[in-house]
Amino acid sequence: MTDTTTQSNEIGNFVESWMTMAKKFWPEPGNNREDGLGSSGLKFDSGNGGGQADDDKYKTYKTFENSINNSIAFIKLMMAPENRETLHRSVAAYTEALTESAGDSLENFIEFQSQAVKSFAKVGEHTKAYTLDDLDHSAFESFRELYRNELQKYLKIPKIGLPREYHERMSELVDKSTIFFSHLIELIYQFTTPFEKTNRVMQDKIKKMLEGGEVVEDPKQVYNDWIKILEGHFMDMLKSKEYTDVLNDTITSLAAYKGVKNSVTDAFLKEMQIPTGREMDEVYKDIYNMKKKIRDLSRQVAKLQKKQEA
Amino acid sequence: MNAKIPVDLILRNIEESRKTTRKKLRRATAVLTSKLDTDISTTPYRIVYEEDRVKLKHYRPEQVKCQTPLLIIYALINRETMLDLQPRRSVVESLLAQGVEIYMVDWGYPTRKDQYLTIGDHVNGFIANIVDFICKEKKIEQLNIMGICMGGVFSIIYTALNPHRVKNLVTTVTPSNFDTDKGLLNVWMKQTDAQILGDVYANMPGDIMNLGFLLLNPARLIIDKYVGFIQNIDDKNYVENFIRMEKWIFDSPDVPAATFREFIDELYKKNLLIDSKLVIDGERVDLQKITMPVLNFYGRFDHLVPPEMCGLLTSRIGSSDKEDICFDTGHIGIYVSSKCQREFAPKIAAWLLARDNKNESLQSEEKHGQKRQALQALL
Repeated sequence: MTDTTTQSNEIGNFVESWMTMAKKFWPEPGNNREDGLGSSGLKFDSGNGGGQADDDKYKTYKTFENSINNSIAFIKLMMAPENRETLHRSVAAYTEALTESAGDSLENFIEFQSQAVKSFAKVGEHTKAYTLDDLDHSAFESFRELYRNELQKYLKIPKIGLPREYHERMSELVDKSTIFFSHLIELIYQFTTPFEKTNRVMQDKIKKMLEGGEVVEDPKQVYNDWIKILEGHFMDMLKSKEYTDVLNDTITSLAAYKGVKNSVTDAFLKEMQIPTGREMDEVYKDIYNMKKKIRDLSRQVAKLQKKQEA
Repeated sequence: MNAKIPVDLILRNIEESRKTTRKKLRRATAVLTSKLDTDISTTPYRIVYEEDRVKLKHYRPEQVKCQTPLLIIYALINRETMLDLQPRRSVVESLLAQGVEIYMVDWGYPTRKDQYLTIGDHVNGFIANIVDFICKEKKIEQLNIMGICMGGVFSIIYTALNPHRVKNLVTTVTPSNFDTDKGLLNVWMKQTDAQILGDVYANMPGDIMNLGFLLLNPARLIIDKYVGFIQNIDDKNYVENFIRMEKWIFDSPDVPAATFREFIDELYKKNLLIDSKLVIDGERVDLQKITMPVLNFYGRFDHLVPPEMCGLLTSRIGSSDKEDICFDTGHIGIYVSSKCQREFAPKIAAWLLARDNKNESLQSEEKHGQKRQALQALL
């Protein structure tokens, strides 16, 4: 069994000596100075009482000294024999909670990693030409799942204080950009699959030619074949529901990201006294409505004039 | 057993190709560093009307043969310069040579302030004002209208709402029936919420739309096209034409958000136009009101607006003088390919002239008849 009393004493002594050192750090360089500042008493009692720094001009040092003293007193109190057992239990509980939390996250991460490895392994598998059923959406969805379960919640922590709105906008920007870029990467990944399939078809074709003793005499012909097959694979992919779904996700997430980005930009513009996009839109809307009204009225006037003339 | 491979032949080919490439590279450098003629839209015109970002270009032929001027309404996507891409490959030049006086809408570049403009604002605002302007200038009551792609949709809507203003209507690669799964654009527009991009960007960015168009056929439009360019990089004429086309393709104004949203929701998703159920500024667009002659062009291999989206129009309008013409070409080929250059503009000019003269002779016969009656009454 571990001797908790000895351990706590060691920690207590270590923290106390560190605090004392920290307390001495600021006043001492001042003492070594030869100018007026050094000799004007820029030092204070490093003991528990002492009031050399009680002058208004040294109030920063006084505040610092008080904080250190309070911390030392608190540590001493915590290290008192009657509190040691409780302290030890609390530290143990805290460590346990941290370990558990890290364990959960690690478990989720390992799950994600295992899914990702499986999914990426699929990419290397033989893919049938002109079929897009094996387009792997799960690797990207796994990432989004991990993000939604493990990271998004931290960005959604309620913001407080004066700058809460700015914090909220920035968190939202990070959130929306992560989601958008995950969809964009998936979309880009989809565009690599027709190339992969085409290259496989061409490799097989060239292999057969070489086995038959044929040589590619006209590279242009090979290119023409390649581009024709590639076009076919692209057409199949672009028509597929999988592609349209990813495209739509990319569009909607881009719109959400752009919306938040606009709102962050507006906040900066407002600070710089520059009219924001939203403010300008209001002005434009007014101008638009006025122009429309003028157009209608002008036509009515012209009609009336014609009637009068007739 | 594996057959023997003629290694000497392979090595000879590699050496030959190395020499050819070297020569080509020298010629390519000379071409690319020389003075290239890549200007587009070079036929002279005058700006005769301006409203906000919108301008009206006026092209006058040396000899006016068609008394009724033609107003060309281009799409909001890309620019009208495509109709005058280069000398001898220009719809504008060809129509002028046939004696057709042209007015062409230049929609300009929408900015953030234009985001609220709806289809109604384009049709009942800009187009209606332009038609009124031309009619007043030329002292006429009606003019001919030719619409291109989305501009064709605007033309149909304007004509159905103002049939008294349109003498003849020409629609080219104009989508009117959206109830089809032909064409990727159709699938994507229906199955995604692309319209929300217009809302967050204020207008639908031209670059994003262009990216979407490239993705309709990435193998050809992102790879093969540039491989073709590299293969012909030492041909000055080819390079000039290629650069002209690049200039046009990537000159993409944004589309006002409200128009973009309406186009997707009301047309692509609900298909209201072809069933005469579309309502613009409170008025129903009744295709039966299109009773004037209609000429409808489309391309058999058009991947943006496939024939299924164009062919139904003539069966739903009220006109009895109507004709469908399907060319064996794509969305742009109809205006720029050499074959279509020989057929497309001349056909339009001849069709308009036939109806121009016919109407004129009818009018003059009518006038003579009235005069005869008046004389008889006097006698």
